Amino acid sequence: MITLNKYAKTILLAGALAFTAVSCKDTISVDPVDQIPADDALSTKEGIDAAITSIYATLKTEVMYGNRMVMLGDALSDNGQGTNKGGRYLSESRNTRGAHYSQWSTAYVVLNRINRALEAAPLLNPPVVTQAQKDAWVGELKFLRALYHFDLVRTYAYIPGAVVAAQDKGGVPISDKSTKTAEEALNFSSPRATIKQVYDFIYADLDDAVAKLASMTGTTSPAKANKQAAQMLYSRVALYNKDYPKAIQYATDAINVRGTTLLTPANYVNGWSVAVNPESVFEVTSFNTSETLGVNLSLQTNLTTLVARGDRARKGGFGDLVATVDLANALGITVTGSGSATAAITARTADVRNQLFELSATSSSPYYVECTKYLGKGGAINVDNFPLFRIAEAYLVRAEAYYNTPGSEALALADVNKIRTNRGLAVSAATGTALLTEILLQRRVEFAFEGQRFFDLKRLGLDIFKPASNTVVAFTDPVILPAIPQADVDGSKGTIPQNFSY
Amino acid sequence: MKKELLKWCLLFVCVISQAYAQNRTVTGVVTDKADGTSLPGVSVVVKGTKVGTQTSVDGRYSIVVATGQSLTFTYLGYTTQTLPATGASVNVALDPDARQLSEVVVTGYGVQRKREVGGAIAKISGEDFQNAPIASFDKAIQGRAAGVVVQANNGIPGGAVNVQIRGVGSFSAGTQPLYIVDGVQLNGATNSGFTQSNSLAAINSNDIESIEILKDAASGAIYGAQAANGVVLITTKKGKNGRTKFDLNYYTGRADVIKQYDVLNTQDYVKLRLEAVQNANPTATATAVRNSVLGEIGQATTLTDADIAALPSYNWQDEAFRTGVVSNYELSTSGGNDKTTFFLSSSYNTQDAIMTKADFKRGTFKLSLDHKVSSKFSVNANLNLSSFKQKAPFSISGSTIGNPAFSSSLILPFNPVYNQDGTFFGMPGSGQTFRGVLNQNIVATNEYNISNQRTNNLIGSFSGTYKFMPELSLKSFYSLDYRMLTGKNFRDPRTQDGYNRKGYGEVLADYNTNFMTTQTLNYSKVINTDHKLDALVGFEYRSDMNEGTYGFGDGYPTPQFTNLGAAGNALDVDEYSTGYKRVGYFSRVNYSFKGKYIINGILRYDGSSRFGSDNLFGWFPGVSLVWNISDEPFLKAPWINDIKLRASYGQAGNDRISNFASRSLFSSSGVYNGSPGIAQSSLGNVNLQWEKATTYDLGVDYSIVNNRISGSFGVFLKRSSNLLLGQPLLGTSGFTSITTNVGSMDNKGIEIELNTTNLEFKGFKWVTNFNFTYIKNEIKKLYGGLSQLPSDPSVRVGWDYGAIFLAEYAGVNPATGRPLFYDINGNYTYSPTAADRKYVGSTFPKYTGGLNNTFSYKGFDLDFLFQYQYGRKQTDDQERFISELSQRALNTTYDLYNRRWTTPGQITDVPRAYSGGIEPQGVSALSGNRFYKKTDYIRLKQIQIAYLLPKNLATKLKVNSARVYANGTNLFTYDDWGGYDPEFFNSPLGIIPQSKNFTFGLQVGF
Repeated sequence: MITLNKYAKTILLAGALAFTAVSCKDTISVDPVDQIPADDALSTKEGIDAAITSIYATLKTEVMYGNRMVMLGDALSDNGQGTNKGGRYLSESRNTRGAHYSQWSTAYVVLNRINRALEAAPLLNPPVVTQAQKDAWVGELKFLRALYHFDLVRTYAYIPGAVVAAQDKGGVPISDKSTKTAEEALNFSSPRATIKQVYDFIYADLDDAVAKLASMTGTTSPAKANKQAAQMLYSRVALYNKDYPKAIQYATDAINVRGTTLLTPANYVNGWSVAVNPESVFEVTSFNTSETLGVNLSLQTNLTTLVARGDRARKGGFGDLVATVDLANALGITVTGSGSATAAITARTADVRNQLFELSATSSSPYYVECTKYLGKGGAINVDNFPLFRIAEAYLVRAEAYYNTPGSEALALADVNKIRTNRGLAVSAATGTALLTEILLQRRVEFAFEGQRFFDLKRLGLDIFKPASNTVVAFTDPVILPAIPQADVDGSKGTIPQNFSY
Repeated sequence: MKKELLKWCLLFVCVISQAYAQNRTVTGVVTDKADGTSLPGVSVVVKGTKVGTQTSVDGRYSIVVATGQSLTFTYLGYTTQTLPATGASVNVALDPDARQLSEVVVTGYGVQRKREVGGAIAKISGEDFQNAPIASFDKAIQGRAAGVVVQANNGIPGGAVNVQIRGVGSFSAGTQPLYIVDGVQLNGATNSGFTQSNSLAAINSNDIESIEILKDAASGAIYGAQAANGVVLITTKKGKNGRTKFDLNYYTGRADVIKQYDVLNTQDYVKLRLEAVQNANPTATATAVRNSVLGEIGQATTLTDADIAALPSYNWQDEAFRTGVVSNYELSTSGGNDKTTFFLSSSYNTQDAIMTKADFKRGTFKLSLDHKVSSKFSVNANLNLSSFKQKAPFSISGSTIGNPAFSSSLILPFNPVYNQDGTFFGMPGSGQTFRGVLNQNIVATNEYNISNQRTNNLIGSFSGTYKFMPELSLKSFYSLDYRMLTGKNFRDPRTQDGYNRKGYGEVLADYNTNFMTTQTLNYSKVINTDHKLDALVGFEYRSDMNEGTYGFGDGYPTPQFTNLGAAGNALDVDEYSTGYKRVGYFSRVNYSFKGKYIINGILRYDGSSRFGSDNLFGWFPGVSLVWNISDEPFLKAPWINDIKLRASYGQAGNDRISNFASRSLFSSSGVYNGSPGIAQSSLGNVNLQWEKATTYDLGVDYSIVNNRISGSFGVFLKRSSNLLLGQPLLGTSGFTSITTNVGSMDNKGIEIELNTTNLEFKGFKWVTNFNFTYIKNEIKKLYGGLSQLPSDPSVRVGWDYGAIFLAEYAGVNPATGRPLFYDINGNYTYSPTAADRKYVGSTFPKYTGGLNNTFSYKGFDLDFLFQYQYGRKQTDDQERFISELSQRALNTTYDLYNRRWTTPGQITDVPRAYSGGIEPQGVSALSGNRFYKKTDYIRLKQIQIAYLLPKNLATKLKVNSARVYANGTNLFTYDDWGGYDPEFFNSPLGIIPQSKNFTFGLQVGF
């Protein structure tokens, strides 16, 4: 018994001492496995590649091109009408205060990530990365930085040349360097820059992006930034900035490489059915079902109740935002009883674009004219693959820029007719303001439910006609601009003034 | 060395007892007559002299007596005995006299007699909830302990339960207490994979001997950074020296729905919908409105009024609800000899929820083994194994269409459940259309889908205790709390959700490994009979690791294939692992002078991997004082048994923050074009630390009038500081918030416990236990001097954290039928703004408690517990949906239908029906405080009637004892709540509500 007691005592004491004796700090050291320390994250080529991937991925989120940057361009304008079938976009389509773009916080989080990658990339040296690789990164990141800034400034601020001076609170804060530590974040300050400063900053980024990005080839996937994407973004920015020479220059550059991809009446509908639209210069791609926003938020589910074109028997999505009768007519569709159980399409013109508009599924009364541009790319449901830049836009940007360039009306007409003939319409002979009206009409029809219409009206200072309620939202109405998140206004010590009336 | 010390001790005892010459030594053991356990600290005095000693920790004593003398054994809580000191050994078994204050209370790392306890500790005996049909024991605490609020999240058997001890003391860190079962600190998390799996459901509540709740920080400080939310100590049953006993127990019964919504039939639905559409489209013709509504419900526009009157109505709630079956089988055995004791039990328990599909099937196995290897060395092992399987409902909560708890009351009533041929109506692909916003046949959805989850649990410990000398012992304790959870979720391709994807499925596996070891050194010494010293030093290490995997795919070949392997597309796989480690050094000193004045000090030094690198370790002190004032001569009165004053101060921490909250980290973030991305997920804070709870506690524990009235009265202030808040950053910095220790919050309260023996004569006894808690919460500080939180304007300094700030609903404009609200100046407005919000109530209950009555007479026992809650308001989103009043194609209740505004001049609080919801220049009729309602209730939580067969009858039946009982839960509720049930936590939207249960059982001992 004595021996036993002795052993017991020894074992117990040994156990007690073994645990008590170890150093405390080491005892409780646990390192995360699912995450990595921020300091090491961007020190490899793979790390920077993955960081850039996450920046692209954010383009797919709900507040960006996954949903709202696309849907609201039509909901807030004269193109879209809310149906209240699933509860979304009713307020937006009525231009209710507060129902607006909301990508502010997301965009600045991403801009900080872009800056962090931009700062980390030059620190990597050969043989890990080559100078060409670094240039490609810089080109890609600056394209993305320009895109996020442009989307911020065109939503949260007025657009140059269409400013309600009495309500103008400037542009948006420019994000040009990264925040890394808690101290930097707590002491952060960046005021709203002027609208001009923001456009200048975007120009500078795009100059770099155009110079450093590689041209598209026959096999380039439009999922990533490329030289033509940067040129098309540049031409769009320049058009908004009323800088017509630059708009013409970059639209022409893009057309020179990708003009041949413009779809014709024969292959237009198919172009919207295949996984990658042949016209796409840059697409926000969903790749497969697991990358989509799913059954509640994808473009498909919100725009149409249909699952397949020409098949009203199967019902899929909510069909919350549909074409106004006004838009349907502009597309060459004659519809009767829209919004009732007896709605019918009685005639269609030869405009091939109206083939992407159909009545709701039969089990989803009341029926409206729904847009079927996003019907599950490559056959997979809710895979949207949003074409952010299609080559068609380059023609219409250039047409409008030519129109605004004295002595270039003929060139403008040629560009707009290029689009008309490629969509199954006869050539137009419009001149003067009728030509501008035609250009804007073609933009409205060509980019219906691609998120452009609201900005087209906004950048030209035009009032918004709301066909569903037969009312007009004046350009001077404060709801043209969204509210900036109040927490940022409050936290900015006056350097980020809230938009007018909020 | 050891012998040497012993000699010195004996010598010491001899000296102080001023030994007489020619005397002899008598030794013995003092035990408890009821359970045979040895009693430490019993006063042994030679009668008629001042010579005395006390028994050691193992109940032994040794005293020198002269011939013819007697010994008096005195121990508080036991009847004093005097025995002649004949022979060399005098063993005594003392009779407990069941006085409240003499109970032994389990405290951290030890036990204390209740009269020595300086903190606020509530004790619940396992007998109180024996055979209650509950899946997890946390529900058993409900209504039984002052200062503890227990709210079940929902009616899922084995689902989450919210336990708050002395209010909520945190904004963003966890608020649940630390659970310790026989020394094993449980991980305690509720996993909400496919259904809620409450890890406490691993323990069969009938295996529990007692539950002690450490409420104040002075008691909790021994657990340092984990104790701010209180500590719940669970002691399970152990074997006792004696005959081997067997106990067979069986009960079965049913669970029923408490109430249903009284929803509209088809005809009234159509009438209301017509009205709503017409109101929203005043210029539309009645025919146009009628055509539109008929189109919406899938009827031809030619339908006549007579046709409408002939349309059928179906009760979808009847289809969704069902009667649940509860049953429980148990067999236990216990016994042992003076060296080894054991307790062994096994059980099988099944419970069906009152709604499809949710159930609970559990098997448990428990073993407790104590063995004395020698007089110095003993070992103990505890093992609790359990496995439970739950069918998961379509969703645990929320407004998902396939969720019957959400949908069944809202589905349009003309949608049939079945076709005439018995097949389900309205299935995708059938050509039939299920009408309304809720366009799924939920009965089919639930029938076809498969979703279940299994939780396997092991809670095991092993310890060895070695006594170096009677006063000094070392305990080495090792434990494992291991949980494995696996689940699958299959959405059948025949159902709405699965149809377009040919079905989809998920699987998950989650493993939690919680290892702990505690090394404690105990010292206990009585000096000069008047001075009693107990000391403890200890070390503890805990490592709690969690890892898991997940898979997701779609495209099943046919509905017969339900395993993920058959899915055509693998869409997502996941693997994760996380965890924390913790180390602590602790000490406790307890000094008692004459059992009258007691001081108790605790100090713990605790570190955790969760904290910032600059704040890894912290100190947690606690001090308590006890004055057993009834021992003072001036309070000696025949009607006073015991009165104890206690005061305590202590600090404990709350370390329930996420494992890596203090670090700057990159995580995987998004997938694009088939490639994975990474991005910064958190901004580090090297100063991040535990939240601090400082408690000041004053109380009196009493027992008077022959112990017929006893209880306690206490007040406390719990000041929680260093509270974690996500401090907003300028969004333009690239980060939206950073977690810092900045806020503070007070909880002040009163706790009353009153136990009375109202009647006691001729074997009849009526005992009442009442408890009452009042708690007031107040936010004291936010960051940066702010008076309200920008991200949540309801969080304001000077108000309670549960405060609700909303515009007040003012009813309906009699002229127009539109909803009205009060603006901040008390004027009517159609569209209140943020500035019109004011205090309209709190989501924290103000008064809570319970009232328990027990009547016993000759083997009959009637026991019933009322539990109450007062002063809490909550919004019922389920009711909000059902109160839309035809804004959309959803059903509503007759209550609203009958009270809605229809004619100018009508005074009512229910606005007119309006399709689309929001009237021009107005806000939703559902906004403001209209749907924040009182959840006050008094509930007959439990009632049990039992009959113990007389001994002679039992003997005839050849059993030792036999008992039959009937048990009811939630049989009666007094409340004003409009929805299914006022007892829930968070939102009741789409949850399975509480049920009422009735069970009948039989318990046989042999």
